Amino acid sequence: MIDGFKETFREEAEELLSGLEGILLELETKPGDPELLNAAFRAVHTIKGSAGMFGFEAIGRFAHDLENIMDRIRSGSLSMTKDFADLALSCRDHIRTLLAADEDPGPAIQERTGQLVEALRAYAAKGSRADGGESEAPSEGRADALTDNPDAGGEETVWRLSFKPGQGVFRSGTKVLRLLEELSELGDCACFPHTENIPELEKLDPEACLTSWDAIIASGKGPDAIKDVFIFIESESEIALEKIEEAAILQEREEPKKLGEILLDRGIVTRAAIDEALRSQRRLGEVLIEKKLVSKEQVESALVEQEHLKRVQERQVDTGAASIRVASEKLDQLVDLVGELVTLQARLSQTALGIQDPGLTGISEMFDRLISQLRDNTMSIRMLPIGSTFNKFRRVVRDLSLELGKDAELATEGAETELDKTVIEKLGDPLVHIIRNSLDHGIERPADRLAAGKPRSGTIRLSAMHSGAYVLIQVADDGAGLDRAAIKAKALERGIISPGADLPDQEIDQLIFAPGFSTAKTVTKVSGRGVGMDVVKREIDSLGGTVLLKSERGHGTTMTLKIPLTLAIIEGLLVKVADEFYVVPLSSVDGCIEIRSDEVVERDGKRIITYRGELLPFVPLRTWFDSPGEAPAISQIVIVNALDSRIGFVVDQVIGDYQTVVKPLGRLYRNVRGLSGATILGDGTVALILDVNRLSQAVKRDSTGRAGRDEALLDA
Amino acid sequence: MAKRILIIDDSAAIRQSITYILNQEGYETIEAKDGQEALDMLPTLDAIDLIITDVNMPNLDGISFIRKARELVKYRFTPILVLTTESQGTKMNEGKEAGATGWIVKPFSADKLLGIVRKVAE
Amino acid sequence: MKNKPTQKLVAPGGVLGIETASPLRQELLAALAGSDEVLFDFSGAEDIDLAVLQVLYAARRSAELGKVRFSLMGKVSEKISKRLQVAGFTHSPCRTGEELETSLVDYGSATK
Repeated sequence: MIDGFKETFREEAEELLSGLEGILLELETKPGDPELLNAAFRAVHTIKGSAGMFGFEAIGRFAHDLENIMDRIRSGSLSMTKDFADLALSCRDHIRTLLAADEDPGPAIQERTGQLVEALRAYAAKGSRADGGESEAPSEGRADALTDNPDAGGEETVWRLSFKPGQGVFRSGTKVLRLLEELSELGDCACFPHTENIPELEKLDPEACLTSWDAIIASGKGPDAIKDVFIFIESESEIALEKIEEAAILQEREEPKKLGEILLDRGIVTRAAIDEALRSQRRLGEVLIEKKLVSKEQVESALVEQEHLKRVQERQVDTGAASIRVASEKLDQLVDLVGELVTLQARLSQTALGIQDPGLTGISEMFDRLISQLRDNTMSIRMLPIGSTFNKFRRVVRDLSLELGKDAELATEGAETELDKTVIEKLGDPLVHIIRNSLDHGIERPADRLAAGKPRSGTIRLSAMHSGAYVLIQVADDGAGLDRAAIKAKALERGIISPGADLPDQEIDQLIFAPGFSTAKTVTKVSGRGVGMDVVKREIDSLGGTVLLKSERGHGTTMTLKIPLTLAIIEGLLVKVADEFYVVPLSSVDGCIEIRSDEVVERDGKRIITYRGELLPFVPLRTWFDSPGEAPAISQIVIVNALDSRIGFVVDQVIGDYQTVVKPLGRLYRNVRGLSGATILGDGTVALILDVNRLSQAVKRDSTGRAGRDEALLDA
Repeated sequence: MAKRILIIDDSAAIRQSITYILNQEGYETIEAKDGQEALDMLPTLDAIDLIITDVNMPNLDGISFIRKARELVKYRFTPILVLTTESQGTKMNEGKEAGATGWIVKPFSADKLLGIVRKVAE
Repeated sequence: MKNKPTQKLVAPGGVLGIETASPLRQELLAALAGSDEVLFDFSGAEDIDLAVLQVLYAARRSAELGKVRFSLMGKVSEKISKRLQVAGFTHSPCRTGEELETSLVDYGSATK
């Protein structure tokens, strides 16, 4: 049953581990800081405490060792040396590995566990102060209240128990009567209270326990189970347990025997004696205590037990938690459905506009409001603060600067900025690449930095902030800045640019995003893994985002990622070409103009229009997508901002604003350049979503004469 | 009437699994993520039949929480269970001294939890 | 000497837990001091703690010393009946206060 929470535990442990990483890194700079030590201890302790409950026993044991050492360090019995942070970080990583490996860690992982445990022990031995007698007292066997499977052996034994609770037990919230009930659930039981210590009311301390008991119990659960009943108050109470008689009881009992029957069976008492005792005018209990025997109705307590068993079996799922956990597919479905609604609503408002019925228009507007609220709400469910990934980067910076012999720190800002979970996940890798790149190429060696009059330690600033429907993520370093001469030389060498090309700085900077580009003179372990900035660019593009690069020689480089808050829904401009609908992401639309054929200017084989006093190239989509039919006499041009330049797309008709849900493209369209997805319109028609950036690049490449497509373009 | 149980633990996994187990048995549960949050809640809650609290928590730890709760008239005698781990034998005593009724040793099974809850809350 | 015997009814409701022991003791002390008979009504009580049971035992002792009648009455809840029986305070289920008064072990001078 607890298995259901494994996932929660895993996520939580991941969170704790990522927090722990940050703490340990900070601890490295402030060794011995008590607050940090406590925080680290707490994180490990929490993981240890929970791991065993969710089936991660190996983690529990391993974390236990780490916890011990941390406990000793924070209590001062072990000193914290510099290598501890390293060791603790390795342990932390290993816990993550174990977490991922689940119940079945392979031999390699187990071996690693062994090594780390060794290292921990060695550290403890080395750092131990004088006494060394620190070995932790093993937990007492019965510290574990209530054994899980108390049915040990099943051999029924008759016990005599004397129980005198401490006077103060009420004050700790102990319900003494309840304990006797629990005792009676262990077997056939008869209790005899002693009330002689209760004084008259005037002298009574109403909060003191003044009653004690003698009890006789026949139970197969062993002495520990009986003592466990009183475990919480055993230190303050007098409890004596004494065995009266032991005898084998029928193996297959269908119902609990009455104690009297047991006693009869054993020949301890005769039926006559019991009957006599029952007939006696004196109290039954007194007679039985005198004779050290007992017989009592057990129906009630048997019923209690039965009821209890029934309840356990009849467990039903009940929801009552303040927050619930949902599978992400369900959320995706919800987002999909909301998207459909959004789409349908767009169509409804358009229809309403056409019909011009005030009633319908009113309803449609109300719907519009509700649906956009629903959309915002739904999207917000998927929002997570980006800060959860920041620690990972801190680690990257730390490990890398060590490796590269550089000194750098990561400063973060805007950790609370929220964005779509899927976006956050997809951002991880590109950001790591960018940070790596900053460290590798940007931040100078300490000596060089000092020579340049900069502080010895470089800073990489990672910040996130909201900007409309976007999140701006910035990675800024105070390093050397881009070496444009080197970039240009490398680009020439790689054949990315042609000799003699006169490129503005901005375009030179962009070259680092070109496939196969790398300026590092030697292939370092870090940046030379074959994934360059082109991969980063591609991944950011796939998120519908853009990368902006600013660099000043000697002062550093800033890379800004502009990422849409969510991937699922975009606001777009719906346009029509022939019978096909296309959606241009609204965020990149600059404006729309009408065009007549006589306004077209041709220059260097490109079609150019004048837009706000600027000459812009344009592309007829009809030609680009090989759409059938003739263009209308008057076409529309949608001007978009693509990356660093503007470009116009000629369409037949601009229909208007459209909120759309993005659906991935099928195999059929996968090879079509310039599309990023599709969406279904209210009436079921499919509209294709234009990937403005890639489309403009493709157009540019083609029109500069490398591909054979420019003819088609010019022929339109 | 369903017994009402306040669960205090900074681990959501522990909190939620305890909640789940207890809810299945018909107990009502209220969750707090640390001692301070729980302490702030106490005056507004009524008829709490049992408090289950973790020991190591940010803001206000379990032991301090118990001491403070016991100072409130309403919670002088409320059964309080401490969530602890084997390695913390001292925490049990510390908990008892602060006024706890008993403890639950992690890791624990659903049956063990329910057994202990019944022991102190029924 | 009073002309007419006076009666006082004490009828607490709900769960008679440890927190009610002290106020109940005060109430019973006052009642016992000013009347010839004090009636303790169980019908509003859902459950009982040992602390409160001790208060009842102590009240019975005080009543005997002060020559006041202290009577239990009213319907006893099933829960209370069961608890008392399991802990050995009674040997059979008692469903009324009157029954309980005669069944409680070591309750009053008859057995003590």
